[in-house]
Amino acid sequence: MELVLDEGAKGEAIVRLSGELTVADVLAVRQTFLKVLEESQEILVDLGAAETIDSYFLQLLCSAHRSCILNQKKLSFSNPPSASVQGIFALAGFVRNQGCSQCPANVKCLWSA
Amino acid sequence: MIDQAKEAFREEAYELLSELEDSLLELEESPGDLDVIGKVFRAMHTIKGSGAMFGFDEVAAFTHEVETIFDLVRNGEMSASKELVTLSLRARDHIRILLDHEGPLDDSVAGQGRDLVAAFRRLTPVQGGVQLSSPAEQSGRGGSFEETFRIRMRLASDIILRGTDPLCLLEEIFELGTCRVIAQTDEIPPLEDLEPENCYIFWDLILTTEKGVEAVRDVFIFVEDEVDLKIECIDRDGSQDDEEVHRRLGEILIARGDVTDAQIAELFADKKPIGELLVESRAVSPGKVESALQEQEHLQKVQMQRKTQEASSNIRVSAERLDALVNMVGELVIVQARLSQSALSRGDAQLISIAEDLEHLTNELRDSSLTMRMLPIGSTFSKFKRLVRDLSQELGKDIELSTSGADTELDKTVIEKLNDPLIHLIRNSIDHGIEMPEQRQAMGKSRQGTVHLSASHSGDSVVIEIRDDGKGLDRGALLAKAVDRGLIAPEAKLSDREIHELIFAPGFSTAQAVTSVSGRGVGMDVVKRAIDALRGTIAIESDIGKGTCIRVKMPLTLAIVESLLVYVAGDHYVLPLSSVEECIELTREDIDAAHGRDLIPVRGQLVPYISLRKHFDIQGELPSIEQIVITRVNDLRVGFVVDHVIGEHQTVIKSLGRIYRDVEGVSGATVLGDGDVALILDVPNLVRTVEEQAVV
Repeated sequence: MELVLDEGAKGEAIVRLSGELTVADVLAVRQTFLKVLEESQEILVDLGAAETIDSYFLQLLCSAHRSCILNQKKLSFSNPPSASVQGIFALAGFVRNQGCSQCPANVKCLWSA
Repeated sequence: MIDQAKEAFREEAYELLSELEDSLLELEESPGDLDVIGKVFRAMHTIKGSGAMFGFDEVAAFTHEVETIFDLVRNGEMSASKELVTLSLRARDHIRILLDHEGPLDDSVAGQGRDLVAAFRRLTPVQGGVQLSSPAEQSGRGGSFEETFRIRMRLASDIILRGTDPLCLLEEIFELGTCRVIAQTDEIPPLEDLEPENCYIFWDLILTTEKGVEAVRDVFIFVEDEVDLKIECIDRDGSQDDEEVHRRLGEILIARGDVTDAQIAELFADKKPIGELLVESRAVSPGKVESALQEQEHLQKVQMQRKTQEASSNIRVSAERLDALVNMVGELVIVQARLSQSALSRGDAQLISIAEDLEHLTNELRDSSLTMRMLPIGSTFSKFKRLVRDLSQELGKDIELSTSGADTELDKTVIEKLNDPLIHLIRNSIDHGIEMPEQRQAMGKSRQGTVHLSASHSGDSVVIEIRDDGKGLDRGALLAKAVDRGLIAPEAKLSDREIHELIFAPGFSTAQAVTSVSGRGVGMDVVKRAIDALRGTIAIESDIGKGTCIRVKMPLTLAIVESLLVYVAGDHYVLPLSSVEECIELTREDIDAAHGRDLIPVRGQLVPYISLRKHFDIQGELPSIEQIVITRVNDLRVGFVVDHVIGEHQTVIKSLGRIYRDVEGVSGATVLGDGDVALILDVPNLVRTVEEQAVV
């Protein structure tokens, strides 16, 4: 896995995650998210170059989204994730029409189409 | 006995091949649809399995190769490319050849098979085509009934310590059948509280499989102690009660234990959808509603598919037996008419009562035996999809075939006999109607042309339309060609309808070049004759630059028709009631007022008539008042002059036999209650003959 931190035009933090996103890296990525969350109002996650993702990484993204909601911050995907990763979203049951119970009505679920 | 079993397998395989063709064409439209991929795989698997059982070894061996490829597609190891679909369609044709083949294969057929297998192997991701045994073979479960399971899979939070990736378990479940999955994420905490290596998610799955509950449990065999697994069978091949079939969302949530009856009752007064209400009241999380909705949708789909399968399978009776039954019912209708007539003439009240009871029963028997021969026209429609696909590829055109009214039912014989005329009409639309993509674009149309095939009921007929959005019929070209062929005089003034109908003239063709697609211009007159022979009509509407619509109207059945019985000089005739509009009188004064022309004013419009006496050269004294039966053929009203109109009649159609087959103006005969024979008038043919005589 490779992690690159970037800054967008409007000052938003961009977290680019590429390669194989697995449980092996979740601890480190959690730390990064915590740090970025402290510093930025908006976080964009780029999975465009991610090759694969496991359930631990999926729940990490979900958790980061929840933290953002609690802190009135935003987290979304900067661009559509790679096709292989989208396939895994479907296999893992992460394609949603309804948001989760933590999602206020005005916030879009991270997994909604 | 063995031959019978082989024949039964052939019949089943033909049906499966037809379904396979439909599924492959569907797959071309939506290559990622797992349901369609599953259908293709299952069709191949059944043909292979049953083929081997009944000694069709070549079929089994060849189909195995193709099945193996689709197993890869099913597992996501290969994509369903256009090339794969094309090859698979060719493979489907090859299986059909193998099925029909008796004795050892000749070299060309065997070579064709080898070429196809080689082509398939070139497409596989592993060079050389490693043969995999399919999961269906590995299952070892004899039965083939489908069950739908509701599965809730909650893994121990430290499942990672066992080295198990939850997604691998999900993948294994997906391999068992058609599956939907929803991850329940409510328990995932925010980052601050997250132990990233703990599993917080649990999953709801809806799985439809033929492999049984044990196969589902086997997936979890190595994590038995670390999984809280709930598996419930919620549907089993139609064995559920009707009430269970369409469960409402609230019922699903109660059954899952996610919500109680009381909570539902409390909310029920409100008009909002139950899912929305439950989420608003925080009684249940959106994820659980989503999961229940998925279950509802999945079950409806599975049940719909089953209904379709049941509708198309049912009991298999040979067509000959069905025809024999309808013939016997026809005879029974005649005998019953004789009995009724005889009872009336004797004035025996008891006999009349028996005859009436018999009439009632005979009518019911007639209706149900005719209904047995009714088939939805959709089976014919689906064959045309392949035709359109192949022809448009051959011609370099981009054409979509859309259909509607596929469930419209028609007599089996009518459907069979309509097949060739419809093929010809569609070929014509594709070849002559729809323009090349570049031409269409230049004209401001979409590059893709459309041929729309529809069927609908209209009274006791079925109307089939072939509508294209092509260039339409060119009036000028049609007229020029007709003059050139000597079909009409150069100064002839023709209506649009008459001009369009010129294409039905024998040998008429406006194509600049003869193509292999629509033939050599001998087709449309043959089509018209074929449809006339089925007592149908054909009409054309065309708008230059916009397209053409060909409308074929067919009687529902060819066995028994409602008719009007008439009498002319000692003989009886019948006219199909579907073409009869009304009956009026023809007096001496009417004839004199027309000054020798065979015309009569009917509510301000002059209607031409044909005297059956004159036409069939029948001698004898004329009654003082004759009657005219006004009919409508292709929007043209024509009267038939008869001595008396007797009334409506159930006509059991009998063919005239070889010697009288070519008699013009008569399409068959029927036996009346008193044993007399009545001829069935071929109304369109009589009208055309008289029109031609008038032109000459």
